[in-house]
Amino acid sequence: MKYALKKLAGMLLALLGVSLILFLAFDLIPGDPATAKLGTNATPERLDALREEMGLNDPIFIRYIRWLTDFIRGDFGESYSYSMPVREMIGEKLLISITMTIMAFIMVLLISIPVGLFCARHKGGKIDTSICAVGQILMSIPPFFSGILITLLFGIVLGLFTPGEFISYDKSISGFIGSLFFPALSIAIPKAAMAVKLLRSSLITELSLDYPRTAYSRGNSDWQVLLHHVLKNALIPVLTFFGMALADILTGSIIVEQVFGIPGLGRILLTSIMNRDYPVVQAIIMLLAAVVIVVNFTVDIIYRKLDPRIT
Amino acid sequence: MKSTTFRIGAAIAGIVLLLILVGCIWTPYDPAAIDNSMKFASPSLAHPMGCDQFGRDVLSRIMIGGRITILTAFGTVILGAGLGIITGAFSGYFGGIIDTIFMRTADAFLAFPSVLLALVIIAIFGTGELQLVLSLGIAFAPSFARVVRGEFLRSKGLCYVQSAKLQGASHMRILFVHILPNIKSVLISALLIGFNNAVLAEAALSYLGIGVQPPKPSLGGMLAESQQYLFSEPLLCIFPGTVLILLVLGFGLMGDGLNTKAGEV
Repeated sequence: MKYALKKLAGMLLALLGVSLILFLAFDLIPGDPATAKLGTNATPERLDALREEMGLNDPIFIRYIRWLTDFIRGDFGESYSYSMPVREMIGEKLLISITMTIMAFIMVLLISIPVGLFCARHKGGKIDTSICAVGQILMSIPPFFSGILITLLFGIVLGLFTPGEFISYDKSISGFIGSLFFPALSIAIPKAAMAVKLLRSSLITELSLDYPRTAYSRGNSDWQVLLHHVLKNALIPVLTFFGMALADILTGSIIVEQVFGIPGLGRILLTSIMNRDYPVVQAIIMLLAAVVIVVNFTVDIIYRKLDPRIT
Repeated sequence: MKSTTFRIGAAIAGIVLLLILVGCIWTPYDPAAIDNSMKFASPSLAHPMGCDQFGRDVLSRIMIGGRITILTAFGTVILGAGLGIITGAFSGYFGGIIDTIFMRTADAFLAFPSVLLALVIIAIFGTGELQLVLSLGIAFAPSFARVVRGEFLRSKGLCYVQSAKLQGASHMRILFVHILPNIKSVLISALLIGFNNAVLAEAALSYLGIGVQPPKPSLGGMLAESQQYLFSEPLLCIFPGTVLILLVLGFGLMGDGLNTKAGEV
């Protein structure tokens, strides 16, 4: 309990730190939000009035607190380019990106755990050696290039999907999931390769300890020892990787969206960066960072549940 | 005695680096020369990797684009490791309030996935190679600082540091003349991993169009351009992609080989 509280405090501190960095970073930018909103032709009087209305003349600390409290309440400010609340712009997109991240993460788990177990069971065999070699190459593929390769192979050569087609979730849920399948797969493959490598070496280390030998001596089969005795212990060191992988997948999804032409957060983020639409950039980055921080906190808690020795 | 993994990695990275080094003094064609008669030419003896949508020689563009990728990655690692080593060394060695301030700041920065942090910095400073190096360097510094801090913390209680102190060596001398060379094995594998991440991040940002700006060639940018012609000219994206993979694979294997040698699996 004390551990959870300590981690919770750490998480809140990290969230505060991140929000402070983001706020200061965008505050340092030369340029004036009021001018950005009204355009350069606006009269000085109107600019002054708007500055006062937007609270730009207040001290920086007050503005930070106001920005933060608004953010927590779900008010992410207003886009300069589209003059609409940022929240409306990104609400649906966030759903797309999160669904894709979760799908990719499930794929990583579904691929890496069975393959890792198989490799550890047949350590040094022909199949294990070739899986390791292929994995090493897959690991080196940047997610956007694996996306291009998957489009080429599954989309163009095999014709399993139409490149560039996206089905919205309000039209058809299964179509929505289907159109996110290959993008998710292209993020998942390099990560799964890395997870297999880690899990395999963690399983092999565990197998060399005394307790698997005891388990064998009681008549358990290879698979029983692996599944019931070793796997849980071997997963502990890999869990940190899964936590970090989730963060990488989330940011990777922004890039892979571009490959498959999915209208998710990535597209908005990029156009906003190009248009210098700072409130949108600020809100998206803050949201993504918050997701990452909360995930890492959760991983820490699960970690402790699995291995109470950790302090 | 270097491990086999390290040798294979060095060989793969060596081939790519050689290609890029040759590109510094000589390329088969001018990478920017547009030749309308050679649009989408297939690989041939004259153009081993074919030509792109403007009839530019792909091999020449890869040689130059690879150089930009490598240079930005080097710049990133030098900036990131430089910042990381200084802050990490002071944090680990002196501890106390310096440690708390540096490491809390590092924690806040680490909470950002590095590509996101780079995006923030690019959003503020604009696109371009210098901005790219600056943004990725700052994004990577905290993880270097973490590794270096741990090593300095471990080293400061060791006998050789104590004896250097007794001999009256200054703090700076102990930090950078005594301890730093002793942690080089950890540092080198951190540098290799950092280099790889930098190559991948540069390629990703250039692919998104916010890194190296066209018409300058870069591996990521070439991939983005060639993707439009994926249907008719799939080879166009295979070559720059393969070079990128080989580069990352080579350095990755080198890092693995060093780790295995140091006794970690």
